[in-house]
Amino acid sequence: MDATPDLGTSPALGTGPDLKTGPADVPVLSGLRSPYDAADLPRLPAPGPVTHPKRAWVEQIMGMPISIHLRAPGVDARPGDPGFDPAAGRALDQAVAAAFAELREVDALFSTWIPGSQVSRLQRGELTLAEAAPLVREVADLCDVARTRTGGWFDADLPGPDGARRFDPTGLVKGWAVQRCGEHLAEALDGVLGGVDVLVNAGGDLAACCRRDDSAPFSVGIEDPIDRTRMIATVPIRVGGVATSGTAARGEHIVSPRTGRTTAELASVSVIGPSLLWADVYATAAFAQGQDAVDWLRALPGHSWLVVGRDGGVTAR
Amino acid sequence: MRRIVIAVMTTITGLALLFSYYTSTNSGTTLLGAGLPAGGGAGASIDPAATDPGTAASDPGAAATDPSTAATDQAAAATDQATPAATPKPAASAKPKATPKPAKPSGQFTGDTVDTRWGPVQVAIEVKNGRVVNSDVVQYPHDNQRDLEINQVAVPILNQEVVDRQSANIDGVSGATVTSDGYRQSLQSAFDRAHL
Repeated sequence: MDATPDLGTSPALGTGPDLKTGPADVPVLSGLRSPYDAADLPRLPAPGPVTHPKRAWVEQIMGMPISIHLRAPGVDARPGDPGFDPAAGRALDQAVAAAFAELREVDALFSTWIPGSQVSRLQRGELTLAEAAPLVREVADLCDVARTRTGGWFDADLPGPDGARRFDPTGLVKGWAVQRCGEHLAEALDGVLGGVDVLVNAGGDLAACCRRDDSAPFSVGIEDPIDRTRMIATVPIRVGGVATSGTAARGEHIVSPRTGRTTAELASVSVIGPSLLWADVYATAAFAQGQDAVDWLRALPGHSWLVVGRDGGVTAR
Repeated sequence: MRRIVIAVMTTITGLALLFSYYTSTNSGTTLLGAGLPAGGGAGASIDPAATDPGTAASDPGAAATDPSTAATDQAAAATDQATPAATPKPAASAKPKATPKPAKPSGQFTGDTVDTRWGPVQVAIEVKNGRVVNSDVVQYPHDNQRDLEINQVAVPILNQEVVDRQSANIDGVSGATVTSDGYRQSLQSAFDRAHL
């Protein structure tokens, strides 16, 4: 990343002034507010947000560790602790195990690293979409929608190592799978401990599903890709997703569908929205556009975002 | 007899005036004392006794309130400093905790060895009274140069983050690296062992 020549300050990515000049009707991402706070939940006469205990589980799936964070009164109680509820403890363990199992099933279907996965077989022409599993067809349809919504900047039809284009839904599968997993898990735990807030963190892309009405939003930090000793912003989120695309994490791994080459004009693009699936797709599509990302994101309804240029300039809404 | 009555009346009047000026300024009481007739000898002796305790009583009161406001000012200043400007907590600190926590753990806790794509990662944390005071990578991948680079970048940052994460009350970070997740995974098992 350091070896890449500095592209200088673009007008769109200059520091400062753009930070709070989003359209008046759109919430400003100042690290304080998210438009998705309880957006889909009934407004109650708030008893004041409470910080409930948390507990986390982590497993290595899809080539990355995925952590599940649960929040509810008593969620951290262990056998032997006063007030430990054995039934709730079993329910939590089972639901979390099922959530990880669901992600592993998705990986078995979609991984391009597993030769026997349906996507690998699709790529080799051993399988047609019509014969593929319903979930694979669902994802293929979503990839079509994503291409349309992003004006072609997100495309599952990507060049492989040999240069030939083939179906590769990897860029969408992660967000889709994690969003789905979080929703299923929160649903499964609805009757447990009076409802459980769920946060799933998959390699820096997070899906939040808060089902309690007495809890504070999850606080998600957005890492500064230039100076990673600090977080550039925090986002309170109850229901929705936070996705970051950038070169900081795994080197250059985002390929521009237009040029077929990796893009690295920006340091990172973070998108916050009602669903991790679309936040992730939009972050990827914006990052692929390089300097044009900010203009494109400005026209994107219903999402907050934060773009960091290679010069460290931040533009956000 | 008549002079006695006059003297008594004068004294009573003087006392009444004195008490009616109980909260008045010093200059007021001085004038009043000076205005008392000679027959009000008793009144003259009451004058300083009546006013001084009053002012003496009010002075400590004022003195007592000053330090307390100063203390709350300091406390407010302290919380202002302690709270990062970007994350205001809506009266969370003032609220009594809804869930009383059991005894806070202390000691050293080592996390699981976690296999990442680049190799094994293992993290240890030091806990004092339920707070992480230090974290260290016990084992990290070093098979090739790239791993070294990744870990040199990721590890000190995350050390910082572990300590910061609790103070800033961050539930997760967007934009993290795969290696750092290996770190985090091992870290989480260390957390779990510490019952944090």
